[in-house]
Amino acid sequence: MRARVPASSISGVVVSLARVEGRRSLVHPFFLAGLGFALIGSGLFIRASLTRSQVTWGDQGWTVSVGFAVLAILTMMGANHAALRDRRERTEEQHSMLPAGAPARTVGLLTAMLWPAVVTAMLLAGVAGFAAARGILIGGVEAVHLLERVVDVLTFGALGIAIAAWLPSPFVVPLVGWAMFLFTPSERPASWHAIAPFVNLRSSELAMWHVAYLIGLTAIFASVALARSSARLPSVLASGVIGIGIVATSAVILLTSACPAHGPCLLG
Amino acid sequence: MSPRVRAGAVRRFAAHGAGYAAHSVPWFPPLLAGLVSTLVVAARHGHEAAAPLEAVAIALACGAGFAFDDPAFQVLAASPTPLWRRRLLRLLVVMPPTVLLWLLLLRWQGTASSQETLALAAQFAGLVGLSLGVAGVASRSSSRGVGGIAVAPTLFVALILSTTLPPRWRPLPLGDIPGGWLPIYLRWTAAAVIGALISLLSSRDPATSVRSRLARRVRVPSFSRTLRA
Repeated sequence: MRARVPASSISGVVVSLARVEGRRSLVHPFFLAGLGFALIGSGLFIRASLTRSQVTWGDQGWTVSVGFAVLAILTMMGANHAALRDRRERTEEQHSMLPAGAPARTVGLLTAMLWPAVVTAMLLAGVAGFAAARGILIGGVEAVHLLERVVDVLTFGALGIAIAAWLPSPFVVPLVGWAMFLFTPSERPASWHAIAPFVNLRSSELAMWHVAYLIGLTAIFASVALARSSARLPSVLASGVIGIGIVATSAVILLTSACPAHGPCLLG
Repeated sequence: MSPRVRAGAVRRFAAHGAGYAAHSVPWFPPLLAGLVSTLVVAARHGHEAAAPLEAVAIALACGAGFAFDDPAFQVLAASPTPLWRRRLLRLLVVMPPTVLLWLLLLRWQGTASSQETLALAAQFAGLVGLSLGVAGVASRSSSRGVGGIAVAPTLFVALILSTTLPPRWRPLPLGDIPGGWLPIYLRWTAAAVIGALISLLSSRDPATSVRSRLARRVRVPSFSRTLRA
């Protein structure tokens, strides 16, 4: 029988775990490889802005977006690898005897995804600062796209952890990553492309709805991961229901407004 | 030992070893890869062949990479069967169904020309070769004898790195590149050969490595000197 631990101690454990896992996630080979792609994308943008005249973010900023999208996918693989550590090292039974149980470890791992997200935000802020210094205009919609790349890291990190909870095989997440890379929406715009994770919408308002959509997905993935680790049902249900509400609302708005039958298509 | 007796011993070993390998291979990744590949072709049937069959080749190659995963490798390291032979048995168990499924899916999807078929075959061979190369090195360097986990992320990074280069210089081309079919055949075949060589090199038996042989040569005379003294 496990001793009951006060809630304040659990939150302390979660913060400690998040610190440890967050630091580990920053030096994980998959995250470092993703960081390499993000730097390649940013480097191509910087080179273009230094060597060409009249560079705009709309023309050259896509390399930055693609680099950080690959970073998000590799963060998912890294998070999945970390979440499967107990199973890989066969320490599940040993860790189940600890006072703070599996839900605390899952919340710690989910919170640890803030570390890669903060690094992503800092890098993107650096690129945006460079662009501003070179006189390249970053408007409201472009700023929201940069914010989306940061939220992507959280969403995909949570997805990696949720997959590890329900499909504990190291082969599943790489397949999901491959699917994200290979099955990108076609050149011909269709309204369903608005709910793809790496889409750039040409309206600030819709781009904000896309950010909300990604946040909702993150809440759903976190709830799915926690549901597996026998966390307290009401809190898991609450975050899941909130996530589903946000995703449903934003998806309806995106699907009806991004590429309507009559009017301009706002898919980037 | 006469050739007939030796052939009989080899047959018995292959039958017994293949049975052991079939039991110890982690089948979930190859089976999942097969299922996903079938679903991809079913979903994209009737469209152009290249994209779905590229996805099929990647999935099946990544699944086949788990063939070398052997958590008992440290126990078996002391057995008379060398590492390359144990790995060969595992490949003999995993590769035939993988290749058969690929051929069936290729036939089901259909291709526009024989050149496209050849290019897709070269690509499949290249991806499988690279997958086995990565799996071989990763399994050898892993303390637990599991290297399949490294295959899909490594191929992912390698193929995206290749895609960031201009099409003319892509070593692992996905889709068309300038120069027609020949560069595609050559590059993927080269990838297959390099991957297979890496896999072979990583399958040398650790106990008979050059380093350990040198160490034995150095150690034995000094030991005999000690005995004489």
